[in-house]
Amino acid sequence: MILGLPWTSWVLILVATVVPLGLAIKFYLAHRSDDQVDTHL
Amino acid sequence: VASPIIVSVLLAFLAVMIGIGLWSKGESGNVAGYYLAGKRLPSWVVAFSSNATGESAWLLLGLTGMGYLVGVHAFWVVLGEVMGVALAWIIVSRPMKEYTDRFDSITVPDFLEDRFRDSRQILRRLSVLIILSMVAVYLAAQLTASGKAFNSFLGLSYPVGVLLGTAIVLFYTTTGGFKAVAYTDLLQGVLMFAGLLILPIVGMAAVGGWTPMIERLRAADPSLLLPMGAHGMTTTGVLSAISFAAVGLAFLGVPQLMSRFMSARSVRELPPAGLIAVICIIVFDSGAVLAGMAGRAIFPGLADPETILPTMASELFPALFTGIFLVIVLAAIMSTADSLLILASSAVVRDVVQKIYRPRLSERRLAMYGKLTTVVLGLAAVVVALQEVRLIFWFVLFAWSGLAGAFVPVILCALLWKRTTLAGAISGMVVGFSATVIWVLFFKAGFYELYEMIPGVAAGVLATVVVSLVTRPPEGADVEFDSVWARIGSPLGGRRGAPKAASRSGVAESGRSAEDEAARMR
Repeated sequence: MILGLPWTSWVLILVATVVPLGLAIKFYLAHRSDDQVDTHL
Repeated sequence: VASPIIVSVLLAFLAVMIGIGLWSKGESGNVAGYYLAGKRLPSWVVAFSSNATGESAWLLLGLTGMGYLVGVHAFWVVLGEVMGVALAWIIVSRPMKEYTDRFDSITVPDFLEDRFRDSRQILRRLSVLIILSMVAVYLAAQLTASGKAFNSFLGLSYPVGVLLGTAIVLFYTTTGGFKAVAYTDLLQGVLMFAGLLILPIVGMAAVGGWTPMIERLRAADPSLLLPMGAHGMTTTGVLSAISFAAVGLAFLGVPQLMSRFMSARSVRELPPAGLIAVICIIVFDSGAVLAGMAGRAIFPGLADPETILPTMASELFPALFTGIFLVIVLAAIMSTADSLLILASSAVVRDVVQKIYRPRLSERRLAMYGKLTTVVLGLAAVVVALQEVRLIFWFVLFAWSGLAGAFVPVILCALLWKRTTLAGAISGMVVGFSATVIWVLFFKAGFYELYEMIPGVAAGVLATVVVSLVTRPPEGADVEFDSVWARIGSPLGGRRGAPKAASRSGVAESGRSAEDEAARMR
């Protein structure tokens, strides 16, 4: 139990939120430099 | 009798919607302006517009009700939706934007016709049929929800509620077109974000904090705290979890969301928009489920779990905030209804009138036809809604999966697999849509209520791939596919720096310069 919830529930909650958020941050960072190059064109 | 404070908040909201419609008027005089806001929207508008369009009254009333009814198990919906939104931005948005800019597409059928060199316009005709049939169901459900919201918050009669909601949406949609729709979506999305951030916090505070909430839920039913719910790791439990998560598949290809990607100012707007959209959808969905769980701890034994949000809004907040929550429910309804109206209108005017029967009509006349069609479609949906159709969310989920079954397999294959052929795309659309409908009619009840989106999308992908493998891809489509991906680079930046170098050759291959592109957009 963590904060009253079984650890399996926390796994579901984290996979539902943190994993996609991490992917979205990676997506944003991966193309941030595209912005800079294009701005100078 | 409604409190004057609630009525004032509502009137202020409706006045702002009308104001945005008038402010956007200048953009709606031609087809690209009316249906895509001239492809000039910034990242934050695109992000909020896509989320507010994708999430209807189902989020506020249906998902909170699900959190109330099944507790942590409802996080499978959060998983599906958040992952669906993240993947849509990461793998779909950029190639969709790049392709549709090159083709000068305004609608998804425009894109499919050019991508597959469909000179007989079979995909366009099929798309229009499916869009119109599904949008009719979806739109009528939203207007029904509008009638019920006005009725439960203000005590207005149901028909007056339907007519009032429709009149406001029709006014700003026909006056300002897609620009008004997108900017009202932005405001509506911000309101939904704030509401779903505050509601679970206030709910938990009312019950005494996180631990007391969990203890009350455990006392009521220990399975509310388990990820697999009351069914556990049984076939029913696993298929229920998969069905919940499958709701998010639609984000990968339904046309009303694809048009958001197409309306962005440029491909560069999409990565920041994607990040905003994912943060926003996490708050939307987690907030709705947690609010439902807190609501169950405070107000156990509600006859209808889907009334938990109005119950919390009226019992836990002062009148001003009750008014704001009415506005938030209306925002969710309107932000979906307006986008469906624009989508259906584009299917009639752009895809049928301009592209099939009357290509020589002036832009101004076509935009006028677009507005007229929007009004006619809105009034047709009112007639259906006035029959007071029950089971709002059954219709919403069915229409959502019908559109997904038809479009997700074809869009994914068109953007991600260069070997996809015209025959494959046609088969995928027909099989995906038919499988969805057939599953609901004949198999769903006998197979653990498995959500129709799963067989629909799976059958559609299978049909697209199998038929594509035995037919020839369109002439030049492979070179074009490579050029698009060279221009935008890999989704998560595996080849950092390469996309820019490749972009110039990509543009050269497509025969257009950056200046040409910019001039065309203007």
